[in-house]
Amino acid sequence: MKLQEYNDQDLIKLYLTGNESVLEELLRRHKSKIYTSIYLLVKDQYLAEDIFQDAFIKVINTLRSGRYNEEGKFLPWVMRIAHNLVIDYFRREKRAPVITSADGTDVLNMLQFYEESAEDKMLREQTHTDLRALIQLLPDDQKEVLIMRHYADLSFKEIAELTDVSINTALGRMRYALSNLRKMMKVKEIS
Amino acid sequence: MMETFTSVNKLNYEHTKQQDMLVEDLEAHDIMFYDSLKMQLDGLNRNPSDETVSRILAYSRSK
Repeated sequence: MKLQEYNDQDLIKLYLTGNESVLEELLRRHKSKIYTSIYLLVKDQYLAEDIFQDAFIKVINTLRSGRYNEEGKFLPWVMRIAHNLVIDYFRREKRAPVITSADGTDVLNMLQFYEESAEDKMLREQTHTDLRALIQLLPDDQKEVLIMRHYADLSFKEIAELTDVSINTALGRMRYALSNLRKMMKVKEIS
Repeated sequence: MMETFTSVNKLNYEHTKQQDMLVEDLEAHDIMFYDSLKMQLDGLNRNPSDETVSRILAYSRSK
């Protein structure tokens, strides 16, 4: 039987018997979904590569230590690991040292660095022409659901568990994401 | 007196099944719009570099 014919759970069992080519097959199946999800969240290719690598190192360590829960599906599990690493990164970025100017004023206060609504962003960025740019304009929680639904192929139930919200909240965020994308694309057409 | 009970597992299964039915319930116009976007969204797919994949495989072999 070829590796491509095994489901993920059976591949993991094979991996634990020492079959290294299984990991290559798991990566072939899922690398695009996982990497694209990470990349669209962090918006930096090199950072996304680092997080992707770190996620799989954790996967390998957990599998080897026998701590993998066989009840869970492989892709949502890896996405949870990757998602947590992305969250860790953003937390570290928030705690970055404050840069002050000569008079002691926080330099960041001088920048227009505030929470914009989707509508404000839309008005400010009317020249954006590609879908990736429009996705980046979505509020983070909506962007996250859209990315996980489309690129990681997770169900709303899995997204809800991963992001620690109710299923209805996850579904609502997806609705808002689609609604906001539709509005932004209309504005783009008009302008 | 006869003891009766409702199987908790059956209850939970029905509740979960209902939730699963509800959760995929985007409205028709949302589904249509999403369907129209899918090809463009797929166009944004990216892959990690071969070097990153090689490093992961090398790490696995070293464990």
